[in-house]
Amino acid sequence: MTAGLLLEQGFNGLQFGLVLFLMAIGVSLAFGVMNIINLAHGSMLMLGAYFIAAAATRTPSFLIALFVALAGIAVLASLIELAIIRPLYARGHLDQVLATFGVSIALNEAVIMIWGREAVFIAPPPWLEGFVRIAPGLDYSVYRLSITAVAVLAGLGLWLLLARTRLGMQIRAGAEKREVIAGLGVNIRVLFTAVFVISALLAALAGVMIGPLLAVQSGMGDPLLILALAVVVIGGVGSLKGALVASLAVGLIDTYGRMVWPQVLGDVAGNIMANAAVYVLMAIIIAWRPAGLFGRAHAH
Amino acid sequence: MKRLAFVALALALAFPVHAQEKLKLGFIVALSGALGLPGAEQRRGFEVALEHLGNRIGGLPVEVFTGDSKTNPQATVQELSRLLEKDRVDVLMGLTGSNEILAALKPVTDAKVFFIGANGGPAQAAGEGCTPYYFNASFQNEQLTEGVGAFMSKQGVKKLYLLGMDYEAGHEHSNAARKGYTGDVAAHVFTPINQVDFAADIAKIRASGADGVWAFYPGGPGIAFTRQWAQAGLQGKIPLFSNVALSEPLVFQAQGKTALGIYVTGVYFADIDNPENRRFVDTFRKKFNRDPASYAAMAYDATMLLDSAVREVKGNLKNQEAFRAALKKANFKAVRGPFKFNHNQQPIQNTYAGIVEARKDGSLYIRRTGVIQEMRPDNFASKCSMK
Repeated sequence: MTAGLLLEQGFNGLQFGLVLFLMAIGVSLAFGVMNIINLAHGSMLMLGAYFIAAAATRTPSFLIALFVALAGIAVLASLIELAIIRPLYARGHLDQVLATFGVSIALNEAVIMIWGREAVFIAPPPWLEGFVRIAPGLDYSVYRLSITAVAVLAGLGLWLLLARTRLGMQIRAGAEKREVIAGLGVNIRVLFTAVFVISALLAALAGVMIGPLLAVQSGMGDPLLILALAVVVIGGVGSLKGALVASLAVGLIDTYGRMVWPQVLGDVAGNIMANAAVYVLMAIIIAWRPAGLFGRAHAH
Repeated sequence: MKRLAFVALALALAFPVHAQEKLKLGFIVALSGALGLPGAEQRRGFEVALEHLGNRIGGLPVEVFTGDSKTNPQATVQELSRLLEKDRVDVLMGLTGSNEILAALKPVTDAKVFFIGANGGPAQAAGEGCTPYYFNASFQNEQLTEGVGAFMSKQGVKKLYLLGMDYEAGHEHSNAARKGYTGDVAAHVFTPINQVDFAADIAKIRASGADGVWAFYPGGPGIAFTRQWAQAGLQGKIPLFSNVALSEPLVFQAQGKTALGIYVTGVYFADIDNPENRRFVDTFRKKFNRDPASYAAMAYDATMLLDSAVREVKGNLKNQEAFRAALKKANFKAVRGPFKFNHNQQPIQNTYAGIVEARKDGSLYIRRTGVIQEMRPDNFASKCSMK
């Protein structure tokens, strides 16, 4: 194990963790602020990738395509919130799970009907191709670095929104104590729609960025949703700090685990441990702090 | 006049035709679920075959009953019972997943209806689970991969890194890939089925100093793996080996030029040169604007096999022993080249190696480089008691 490899895996883990963060933050906000379990969140990542693929072939510049794709997601997400999610606020978690799972199946099938079952090709913009030397003898992909950069920027943007704006203050208050915010005369419906759209946009942004690295096809967001749920459990529901810390922890543990476990435990057991490490961590955290690292054990 | 007509009618009723006047064929593949993409490709191959046969099989007009096995053994059994009991099909063809085939063996044997497998062959169905009612017209799973070990050694690989998806096929294929390989193994790892980011594994490969990689990632993960492989700058630097599951015409569009230079093994490539295959590829290209993937070719061959056997028994499927013997003869020209059935009704055939290259117009194809296993039976035939 060389220092170069350790550094490279650090970058890989950071990038993977930040993509998870973009996914997990939406799941966490929806649960924390609106008390909604949203299993359709993986579909937002998928739609982000499809929308950028569709927009990129019709517009001259990647940045314009990005804007068009995200605008499309915002419109679609607000429609879904109005038509399907809103009636669910008053209902139990089981109804929410069933309904949002239904939404994700419907969106997955809709994508097959529009774009077909075969995966769609997205090329990264040419100005992000190539490699950059991050340490002596270590070249790292510009595109992967740009994913990290975009995720950091999105995270900073979100932090500014939450910490510096009135809307952000209301969202934070909602995540802390939902009952109070309604009592203060805030238009809770508009707030909820805003939270849902912001969540969808972050997931879609993750989809836009990792689209060129994955197979853009129906259901592509679902494996990441499972990990995002693990992140939310580890970090604590509704906690932004928790989502960030847990995402980075999961990203780094998963990445370094693939390297370390086989050396410690041998090929077979090490392989099993590397694949299970995230879920083992989740089990330990639940046993130690049932509300997650930064969650408060408040009753819903 | 009336009386004459009566006599004619009576005679017609008294001498029923021996052969049936049409063939009811149950075509069942995964049209939805994880294998929906290969299933659709199987159907394309089947369509081309019917077109070439003028919608007749063995001379009989064919009525096709389609079933969706949904990438799911339970659904397979349900669809089979519908095809067998309600539609009362004469013969069955298709299936996509190996687990679907295992689920189908008992229902078809109980119903005494012949089933011609058109994709994949699990070890059990070739070995102790073999049945007279199952003919595998595609390949035993290991036949896709076996021979690549020696091939990699011949290509100069001294330190091999193997990786595959952590499920049955990932283990079977990567173990088969090691057979005949003589160099060192840097690592042999399995990644979770739902893993989508391979950066950590690719960094490990680079750091391991491996001079060859064998990888098993079918479908979406395969597209992700090759893109990230190229993205990491390893395309063309370390040779990447796999079988057709990783890269073939079905995913070329999505892989783009990241597929260039991948070595693949398989029992069929579109550039195989014989008159039957030229005709098949020609029609397929005209209809679908690209080369057929092996799923399509396997379904095409399965249809031609059925055609030859129905023709041989002159449309009389009631004599099951004769029909079985006719199927076993495999008296047809397969688009993949030489093809025979072993005593376990699994194929004896070649495994080919090829490399993904670009034509002048930029489209990708697999250039066949040679035969790596010549007319080899599968490894489980000895466990099958059938003669």
